[in-house]
Amino acid sequence: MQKKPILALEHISKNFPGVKALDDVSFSLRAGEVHALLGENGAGKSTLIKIMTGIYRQDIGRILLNGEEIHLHSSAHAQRYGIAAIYQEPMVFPDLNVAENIFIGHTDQGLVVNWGGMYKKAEEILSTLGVSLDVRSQTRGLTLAAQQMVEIAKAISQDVRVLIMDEPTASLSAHEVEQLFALVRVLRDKGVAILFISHRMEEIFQIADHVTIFRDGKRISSYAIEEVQQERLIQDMVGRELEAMFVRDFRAHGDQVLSVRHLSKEGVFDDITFDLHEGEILGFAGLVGARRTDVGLALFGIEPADGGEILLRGKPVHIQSPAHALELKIAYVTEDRRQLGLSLSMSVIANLSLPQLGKYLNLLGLIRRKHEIETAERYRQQLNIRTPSLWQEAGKLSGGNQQKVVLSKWLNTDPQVLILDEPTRGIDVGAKAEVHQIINDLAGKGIAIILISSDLPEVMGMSDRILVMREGRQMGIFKRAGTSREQIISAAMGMAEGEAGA
Amino acid sequence: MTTTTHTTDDSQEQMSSRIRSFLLRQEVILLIISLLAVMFLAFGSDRFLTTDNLLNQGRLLTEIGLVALSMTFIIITGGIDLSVGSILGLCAIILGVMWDPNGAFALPLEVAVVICLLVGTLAGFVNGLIIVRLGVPPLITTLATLALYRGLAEGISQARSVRGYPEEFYVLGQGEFLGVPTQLWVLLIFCILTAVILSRTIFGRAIYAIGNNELGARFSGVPVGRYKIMIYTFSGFMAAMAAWIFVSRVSTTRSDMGSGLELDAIAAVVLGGTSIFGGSGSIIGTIIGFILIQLLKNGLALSGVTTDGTIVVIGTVLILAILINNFIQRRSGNG
Repeated sequence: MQKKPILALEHISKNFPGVKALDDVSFSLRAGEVHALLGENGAGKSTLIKIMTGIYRQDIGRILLNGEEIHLHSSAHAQRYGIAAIYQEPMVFPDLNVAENIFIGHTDQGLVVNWGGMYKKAEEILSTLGVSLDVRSQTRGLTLAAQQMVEIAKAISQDVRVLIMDEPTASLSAHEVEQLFALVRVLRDKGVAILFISHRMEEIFQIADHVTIFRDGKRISSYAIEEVQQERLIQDMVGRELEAMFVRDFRAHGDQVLSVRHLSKEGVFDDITFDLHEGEILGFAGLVGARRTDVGLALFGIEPADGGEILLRGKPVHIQSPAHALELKIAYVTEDRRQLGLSLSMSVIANLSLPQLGKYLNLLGLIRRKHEIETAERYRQQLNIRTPSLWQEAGKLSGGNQQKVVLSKWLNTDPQVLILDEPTRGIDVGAKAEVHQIINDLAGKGIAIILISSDLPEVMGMSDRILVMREGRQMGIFKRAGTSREQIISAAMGMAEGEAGA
Repeated sequence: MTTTTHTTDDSQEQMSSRIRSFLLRQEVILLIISLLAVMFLAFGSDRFLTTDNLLNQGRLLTEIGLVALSMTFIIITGGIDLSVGSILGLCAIILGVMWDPNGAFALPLEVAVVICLLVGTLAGFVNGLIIVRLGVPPLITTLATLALYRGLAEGISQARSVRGYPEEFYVLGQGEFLGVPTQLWVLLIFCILTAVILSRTIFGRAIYAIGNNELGARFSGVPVGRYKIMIYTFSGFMAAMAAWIFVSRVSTTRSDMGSGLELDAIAAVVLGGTSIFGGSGSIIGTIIGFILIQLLKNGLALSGVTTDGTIVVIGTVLILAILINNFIQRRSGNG
């Protein structure tokens, strides 16, 4: 039953500054098939979707629709070709009713809305999908699942031929997932080509006809679902061996610094338990939505936990604000450098000293600028921050150098616990290696480090132990030695409980 | 490593780029505009550029000046305080009613002044609480309290005015010290104080950080909420100071005092180069801003331009100053 492809991508490459997001990718979708896309975070799936829906343009390569080359320049344009996408969070207009949402993109209806006709057509579309929804009700009150149905109906109304579903099941209940899958099968039987992205392995085996694995911006392999095993898919996702690029001097650990017991936050994460020692790096691995960052935010007092215990050097602490965390010498380097980590239009100097201004006061309570500059100069040399001047606005530095400023800012607080959230995301390979070297040196100085990272080789190469989370739950703590990547990935995807070792 | 040559190059480059950016600062541009305006206005009337006239203008700008100083803090954090004019009116009435020998309280004047300052501070504190604890945007909060405080002032005054203060009370608003109007000394002290706070203290730095990236400031351990409450409280206090000086200057108390003052203060701050979006600005800019506005008002009046005409000119200058600033920012941003 090999049909001709509806949509074909040929030799697509896409570069971002410092990152090769897609590297010579060829890929095609056939009518009436559900094609699953698998890959770790950063494997290139999102970039691929954005190219297919006209949000990004490829640097090299062609997109063919029914054998003819097309050039997409916006998502509205892609929709006119019948290529639509729905996402984890439905993008409906909450104040409009179901029918209005379905027909929102139709501008060729004349000046006056034919309400009766619109409601009738909306009902027709929904009934072909086997969905019962009141087309006159506001979308605001609908469940996430129902809102997704509305989005799918909207795509149908635009004569969709290729439907991209980016983690549509991530926020749905098991029953809702069933409903969604029933709908997906209806669409497939109508001859729509469906590209389905999910991190849940069992769903892929349930719904997909074909599966393609991406890794590091490349297409690794494709299989028909009935002729492949789960283990094979995981091997392909994980791929490469641990590179020698990770510098890590493993030493004996010092005293226990932090001890977290059954830490919970209602509806966010539950029962997180671990110990952390001087000079130790504890990796936090997991997929998107694993809630690792939320644990970091709780430890830093931004979003305090509401259950469980945090012991710092044996004493229970209730961290309620970042200022409090700073007093306790806990520092948190955020994953969102530009929004949360830096004041972009302030100078490197002012950014660096902000959490620790108290250190720079003279007897009158005034800031001694000379000392601030000296500190900034010291970190510029130590961490090799490349900036034309220390008075340069932080926002004008490259990603890697911005990250070094953020690291300097927190190192200057002299932390005993340092939480690093995706410290190398979005920075180029060279800067990445430098940041790894810095992290290694910090552990060498006895700082206890939590390394949250979606980059599996990074987290496995740098950590002493790895805590794996999935959807707010702790799946196990793995020792670095003797743990394979397959084990980590399996735990992160919820397929096997890891041996919980402390 | 060639660290030494590197540093020399760097510092030279830094010097020249810092000089260039100094010349392009809004404050400097504004100063040049002000000087041009003074020259121009001096031609319009020979009474304009006299010591007497200029000192007298100093008296008139003090109230706006005081309020503009605290408004600078607020606007740098990305906020706004529309209620300062109403707080001024409320405080003036409180001062009069508390002191009024024929009224219900008949308190000593000193006590009445202290109560006036406390009420202003409290009014600002309430603004801060609503903004920070209830999360109502500053624009909405202070728009509401603008009406609320003015209503209170009118209710308390019952359309009566209080006059006949003792002679020594007028020293602040009508007297002189070392040949300069008394209130100008007060203004000078607050100018220095706020300039130092803004540029050299943790509090000042935090204000910039909040305006620049409030969430980021929070992630850096800045107690954002507490600091914001503090600046709105300070704004209330400054409005009360202005009320005290206002009453002393005009010898009477009425409930409509200070209406529209907030707009002049905001205009002075924005004219002085403080970004309405927060994150940048300076006290020196605000000072030049309120002086320029007062000089324009006075100079144009002396040249025979009507009040309506004056407002039009001030509005035009405001827009021009901002356009020039934006133009230069964009140029230097690209360069």
